Amino acid sequence: MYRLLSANLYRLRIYKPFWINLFILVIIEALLTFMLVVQGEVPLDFTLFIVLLVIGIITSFFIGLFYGTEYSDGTIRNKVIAGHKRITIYSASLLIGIISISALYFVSLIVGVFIVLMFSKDGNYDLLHFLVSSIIGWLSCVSIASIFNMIGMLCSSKSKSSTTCILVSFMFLLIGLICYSLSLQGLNSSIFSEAVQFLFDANPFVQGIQISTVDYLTIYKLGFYCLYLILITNLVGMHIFNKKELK
Amino acid sequence: MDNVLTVDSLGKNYGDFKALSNCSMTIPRGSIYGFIGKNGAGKTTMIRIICGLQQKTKGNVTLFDRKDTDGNFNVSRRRMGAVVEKPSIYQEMTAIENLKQQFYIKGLTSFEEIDKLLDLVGLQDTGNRKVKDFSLGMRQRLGIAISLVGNPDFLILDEPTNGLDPQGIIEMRKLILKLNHDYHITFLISSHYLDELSKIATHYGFINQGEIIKEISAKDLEAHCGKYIQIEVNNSKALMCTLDDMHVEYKLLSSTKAKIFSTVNITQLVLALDRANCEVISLFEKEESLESYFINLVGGEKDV
Repeated sequence: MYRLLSANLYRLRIYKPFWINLFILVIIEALLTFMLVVQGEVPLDFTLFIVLLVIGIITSFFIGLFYGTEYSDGTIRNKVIAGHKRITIYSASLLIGIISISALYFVSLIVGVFIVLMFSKDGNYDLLHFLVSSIIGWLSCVSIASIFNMIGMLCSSKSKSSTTCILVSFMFLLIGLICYSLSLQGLNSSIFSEAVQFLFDANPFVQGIQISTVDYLTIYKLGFYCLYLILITNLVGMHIFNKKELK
Repeated sequence: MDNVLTVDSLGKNYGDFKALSNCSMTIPRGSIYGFIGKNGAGKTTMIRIICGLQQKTKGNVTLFDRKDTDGNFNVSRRRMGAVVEKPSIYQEMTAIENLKQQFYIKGLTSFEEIDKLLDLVGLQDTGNRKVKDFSLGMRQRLGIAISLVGNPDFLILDEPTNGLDPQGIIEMRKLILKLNHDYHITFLISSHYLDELSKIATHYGFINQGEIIKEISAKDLEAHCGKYIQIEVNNSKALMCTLDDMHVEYKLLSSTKAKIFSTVNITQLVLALDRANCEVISLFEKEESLESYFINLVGGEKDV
């Protein structure tokens, strides 16, 4: 596992789209946070809102290509021929996805927090709430990485992988926004209302909308949904990848 | 002689279609094993199963004395390299970056051997050029360099000369022979270029319609397909008596034709036949090529 992870890290280090994505995300976070800060007081948690809302979309552009290259260039075969087990290859791929999205998340978050602390006059922040929200926000990112990893490891071409990742991220975002809109309007049917709420809570692409404003219990609930999603996507992905013919 | 690879009754089904059926193969250590078959015969399917890229339906693969059902079979896989179908290289990276990537995959922390590998395959001057700008021959050679990372004892090359120009084919042949003679690497090479394969292979395996139909060493093949004289006469009985008297090894092809395998003095033969009232209609020297041997094995002249 360590060998494959080293190989993946080396590739990520020299992968230009990753650094371009990092730059774009940092710029978005910095600009939006600064614009809000100059208009008035901004809660620290708001930096989370910005990052988590865009990170799924931004990451989908580069990560689908990153994973898909292994199939298009045939290099995934080198790992199998070299004697690595399928489960190790899948896990190393998942880890590099987590590392890359974590880097994007934390760097952007630090930039946003820095701007808020620098330019905001009021220093009264609920740091504990922010810390807990940050950790759960990170779990959202990990679950997004798990989804993209499953797509990348099962799609047999670069174009399919990147297109699917982008479409999935927009689809999840759209579903999440529809659920959010419906929940705001209020629904008559309690079953339907619960279903909408579940779809909204379990969707890692839109957890950023509520993560900064809800109570601790709800935050932990969101965290558990993330963990379930991580478990399910990886179990399904590993099972299918284990039997996949690598052409 | 110990064997690097033994395949026993390997089978692969896709639904009702049998891509491989009871394939058995033995590759001796230090050999260059030429794997020959028509398009769609099952060569690449078998190679892919050996490399772990596809799952088999039945049978066993034993690599360096470890069966594929053993838990630690991957330890044996670490002693082999392969270039299957097309070279597996990152198009957006340079040759050095690709090799570094493979060094990491193999768990090698020192990159000292990279320059040596590039020299070996003739890619020492590629510098910062990305692989997507390489010619096909250069990519093939880089693929082999990548497969050589970690000093493997066994290399599988699936049609390594595909798309290469004549110069490229010669260079590939020289490289394979050098690796076999100097580094004692055992090879399994599948190829359509039978003439080229016949110049390097020490053993052959012939596959047709998913079955290994023949395995033979180059030595035995040469003995079987060596030079001979084909003679056509008007009296085969007289021919047979004359050849028996001369203690010559021969094989009667028809009532008028025969193959003579031993070295024979043509003048004495013709004079002896003349004394026996036997006319010689035609007489010429022939050599059975690997191609004609293969065609005779599988039948017909469909594309190889």
